[in-house]
Amino acid sequence: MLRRPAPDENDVELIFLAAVLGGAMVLFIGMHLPFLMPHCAFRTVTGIPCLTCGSTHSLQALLQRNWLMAIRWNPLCVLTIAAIIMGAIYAVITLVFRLPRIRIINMNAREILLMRLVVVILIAIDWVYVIITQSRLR
Amino acid sequence: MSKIFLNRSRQSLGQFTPEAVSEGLKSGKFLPTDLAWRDGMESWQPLSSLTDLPLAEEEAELPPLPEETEVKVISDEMLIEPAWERRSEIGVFSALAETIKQIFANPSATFAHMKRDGGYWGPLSFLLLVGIPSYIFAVVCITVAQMSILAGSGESQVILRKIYPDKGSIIHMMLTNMLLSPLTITATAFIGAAVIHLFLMISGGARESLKTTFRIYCYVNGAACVLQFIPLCGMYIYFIGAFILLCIALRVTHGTDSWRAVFAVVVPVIFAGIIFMLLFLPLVSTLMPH
Repeated sequence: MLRRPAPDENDVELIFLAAVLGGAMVLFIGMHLPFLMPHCAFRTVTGIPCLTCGSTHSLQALLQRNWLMAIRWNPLCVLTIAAIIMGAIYAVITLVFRLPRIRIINMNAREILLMRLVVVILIAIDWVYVIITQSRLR
Repeated sequence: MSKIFLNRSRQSLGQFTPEAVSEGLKSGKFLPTDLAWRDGMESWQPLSSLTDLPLAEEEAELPPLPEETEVKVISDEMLIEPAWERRSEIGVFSALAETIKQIFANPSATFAHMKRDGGYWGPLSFLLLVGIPSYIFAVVCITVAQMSILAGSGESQVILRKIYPDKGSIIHMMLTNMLLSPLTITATAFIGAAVIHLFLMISGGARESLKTTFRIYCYVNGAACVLQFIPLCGMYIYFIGAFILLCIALRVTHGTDSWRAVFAVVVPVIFAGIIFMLLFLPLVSTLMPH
């Protein structure tokens, strides 16, 4: 539903936008200092890629506008970044034009459970994909 | 009839049916000055302006309490303020766990009821107790990652080899970092709080003292430090978590608006990032293999 935030309510959109900005800056620094980027300890120990493996390569491919390669490295990473960018665009529009905000309300326990299940299934599918494809891509 | 959203002192009270609101007004649970909104309304209005609420039913007569019952009065504020403030009563570990839970579950209410004028030691001890183990964990993770880079090949290995000629120097650095962690965390807390407070003053949002900002900084970072235990991306998630919580806590505690709170957090972070890039990128480029 759409509503205007209360005078003393947290401005969720503004805080989200600021967090995206801060996070992007940290990522930018990390990508320019490769030895600061996390090295996959899970892969080192088990030999199996973790579910976030390929995210750095995926990001680098995205920055080079190589969309297909970005999806091939880690599809969920691309999906997450797309969702964050869409969220940021929505936040900018609502803040600049002072529009009413979207708020999800009245979700019952079943709907919440369904939402969580979808997220878990998406992560599981992505992990299986990463395990199958990473050995071929590296 | 649609449900009514209520808000008091910067925190949501939830959504209620008109009957429940009417009952709440009668019992004193809700105040006429609480802000209300429901579908179709243009903006938030004081509850007293809603004239179409149903009349509350007569209150049922309650049986009297037994005379010997001892009633311990615990105010709402005592339940909502960071539990760490009551650590002497509920125990250090319970208070620690409860405070982390409170800050993540309801940061607005927790910081709205945080004492503005307490000592420095209370929040700092909270930060140190959570911060030191998580700092050590992060240092160990970085060391393991650096070891694996050194054992491999590529550009990163060449750069690292120039900084750490052998594995012994990496371990030496790890141990030094671990031993200095209490000092590093304490110094960072004082400097970080001072910088944030300065930017809050610049934005015109500082309504409380530097001590209050320091208390916020310690509680937020202490709770967010837990996120560093997430393998691989823990440090990034910690950064984002602390960032968001700081914005909320500053806004609520200083009674300012979101713009000023966000400004006080974002601008120092951007400055720090630029300084970091200016200092480290030339250094890295000199270490890069040609």
